[in-house]
Amino acid sequence: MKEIKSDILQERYYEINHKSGLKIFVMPKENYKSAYAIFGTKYGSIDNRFKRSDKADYTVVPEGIAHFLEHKLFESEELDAFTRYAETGASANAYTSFDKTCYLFQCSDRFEDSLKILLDFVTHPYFTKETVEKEQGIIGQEITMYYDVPGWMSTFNLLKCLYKNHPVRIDIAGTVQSISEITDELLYECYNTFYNLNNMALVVVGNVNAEKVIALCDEYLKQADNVTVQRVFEDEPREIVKPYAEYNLAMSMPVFSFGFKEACQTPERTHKEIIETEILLEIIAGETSPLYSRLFNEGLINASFSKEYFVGYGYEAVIFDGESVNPQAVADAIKKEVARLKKEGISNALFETVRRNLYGREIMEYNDIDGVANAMIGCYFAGYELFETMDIYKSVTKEDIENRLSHMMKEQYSALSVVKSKE
Amino acid sequence: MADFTKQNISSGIDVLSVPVSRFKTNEISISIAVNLSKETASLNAIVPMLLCRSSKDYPDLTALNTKLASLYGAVLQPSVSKIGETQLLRMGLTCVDDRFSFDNEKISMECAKLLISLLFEPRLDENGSFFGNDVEREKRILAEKIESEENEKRTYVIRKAEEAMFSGEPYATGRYGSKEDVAQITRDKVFSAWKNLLETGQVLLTVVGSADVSEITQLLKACFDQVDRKFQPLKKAVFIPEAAKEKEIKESMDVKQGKLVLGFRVNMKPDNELTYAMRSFTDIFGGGPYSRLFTKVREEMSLCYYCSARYIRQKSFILVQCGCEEENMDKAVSQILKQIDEIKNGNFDYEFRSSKISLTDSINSVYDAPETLEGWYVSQMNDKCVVSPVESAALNNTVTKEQIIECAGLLSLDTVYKLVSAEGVE
Repeated sequence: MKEIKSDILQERYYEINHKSGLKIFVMPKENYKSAYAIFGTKYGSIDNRFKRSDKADYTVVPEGIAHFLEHKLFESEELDAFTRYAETGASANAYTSFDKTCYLFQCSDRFEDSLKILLDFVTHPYFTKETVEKEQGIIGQEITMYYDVPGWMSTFNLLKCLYKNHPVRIDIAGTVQSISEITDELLYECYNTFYNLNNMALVVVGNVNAEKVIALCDEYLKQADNVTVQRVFEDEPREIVKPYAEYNLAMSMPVFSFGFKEACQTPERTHKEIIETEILLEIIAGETSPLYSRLFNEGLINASFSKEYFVGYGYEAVIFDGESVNPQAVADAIKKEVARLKKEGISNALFETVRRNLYGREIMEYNDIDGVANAMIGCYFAGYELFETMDIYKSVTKEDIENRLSHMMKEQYSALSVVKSKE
Repeated sequence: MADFTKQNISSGIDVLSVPVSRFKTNEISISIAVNLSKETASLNAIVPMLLCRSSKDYPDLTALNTKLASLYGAVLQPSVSKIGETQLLRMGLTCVDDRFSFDNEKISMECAKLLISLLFEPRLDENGSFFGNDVEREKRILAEKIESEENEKRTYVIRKAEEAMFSGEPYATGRYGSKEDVAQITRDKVFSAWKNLLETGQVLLTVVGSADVSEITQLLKACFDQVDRKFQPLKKAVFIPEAAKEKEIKESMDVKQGKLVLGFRVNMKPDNELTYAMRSFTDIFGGGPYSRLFTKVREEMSLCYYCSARYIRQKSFILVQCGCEEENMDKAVSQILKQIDEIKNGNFDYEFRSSKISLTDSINSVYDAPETLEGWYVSQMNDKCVVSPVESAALNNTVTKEQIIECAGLLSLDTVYKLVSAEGVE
């Protein structure tokens, strides 16, 4: 058991390599009443093509299967997980993202009983032909519901503009068509590949101690087979697919996503590159930036405007989104500001303000046990150490940011997606 | 357990503090509550937004945002909500605690001063009125907020159902008012609205964290001492014990999925001692994943993609919302009603047991995030008696099965609202 401390944050956590193969992190929080546990696998919607270390060929599975599997895992031959949690009072949930699937609960009482349920149901799949068919209807409705959510449609249409082959362009839940191809056998195949404890992590934050968590893992987890899995993607061209997409919904105010596809020469970015880019985005379009103030005063953006460094295995983009009466004008203004900063450089004052701002915001994140737990599992799967963030904020220089900018946000790799009413 | 203190510092002005050191932040907010009315809703809503955009000392957005950033990323948030027939205008500031500053700066006091100055010292022109440009910008933003709520169909259908159900009552007015009312706003009207809020509103200062509450209180009091206060106690919400006759509204729109909302009148006033039982009833009916709407209507019968119930204590009603295809809507309505009958007949032992444990557990979790803790207390601003989460959890544990059955008998269906896909309408 390794202890990792942060003097700046006045926090510590423990990292454990469990004998089962599972990586465990425990962060006790003094004087908190509740605890939050998250058990996840490095397996998300982008993992449609993969190769197991014990097989010669790679496997291709239908889009949306990771999310489908997440839904189905709550079921068992006897009681489903929600019914079991109803006995302990924990509030439980799960989510699937592009690159991970996580099962979680929060409780202020009977933590150990709830953790037993979590460890048990995630390690005991139960799929049948009948239950798979029933779920196809339910998930089909969930997929349809998102077709009416403007922000969701805007984001995915942008990803389709930027990416030709990478599966990040596909809706996390797949399509009604793709999920109809899912069978119980395919679910077992994906489960046995990705729900190997060597590919998973458990994070617990809050009113807990590490010994209790380890003792329960000793009791509930068997040693995993020594199999690893490799992500296999088709090559993604540097070019975008198309520069503009439009989708119509009954609505009054257009919603947009504007993004730059980045080079992504190797599949993963370093922690430093990520933080540098976050500082850079704050400098370009944060609330203290001249661009933000101008667009705001001109009535082109409102408080819904946001920016994101959208990054994961094999994909990397910078995305700005929000509501605007004139999305094209916002996109043009962003391009212009990026060009100006590339030419004129970043002012010292703005850099320091932004750094202090993000440093404070990072500290705030440590209030919420759910936020910390999710950040921790995300960091681990991406290969970073959580507390490092604070050190990077302290050591990063303006020149680092300018250097980062010089390689990013090239106009010819940008696209705009708009969702608005039919004219 | 007294985990908070509340003191009255002047007529209609209270300070509520939750002294805790476990958080990294201080959460400081000033809330002003007034009666909700169609005539003033948009006008009042614009005030906190305008005040949080600039001030006498920080005359534009960049100046104010730069100040916040230099205070270690302090987050300033104006918000508008409705609690029963009260409109609540809130300005909140979250900042990291002083112990994280680089050189012992008093971040929390600086933030408290800033927040109070935003409320009392806005940016005014040489004639002492708001700048026309500033007001016009906020009008646009408020109108866009209203449009944005319309864009989200889940929010939109609830709003439409409430409008229909409470037609003629103040509750029919949305928290931001309407786009038409926003268009009528002038800078003189906003100025009067701001003055009126300071003079007549019910004010609550809350501090969650380890900041010096007495110092902040003194600051606020000194400012209010300069105001000619004419405090007007808030009216009680119009109480209609039973639905007169069932209304059904059907709207078609270019959407891919239908939505269904049911509004029930609840024959119980907000200060009734059975409201805890009503909260349990709602949870059993359509709250957690053990609820009857989830397990029966959604999981067993697959009639809806989501289906849940919410109890709005301060206005005595329950709202059920579902994502539902048009062909399933009538069946869904009858099945939702059937679940109430099942509860009346006492068939809810499993749900009751689960709900009791789960509600207590989640109420106790309120203590672990400053914003939920603050929200917990602010939502009781109109109540005579403030209850802490731990007290509320204890009350939850006293609820009996008989009380739940009694609660189930207090619902009457008032409004059924259906949003259907335009292709499905003849």
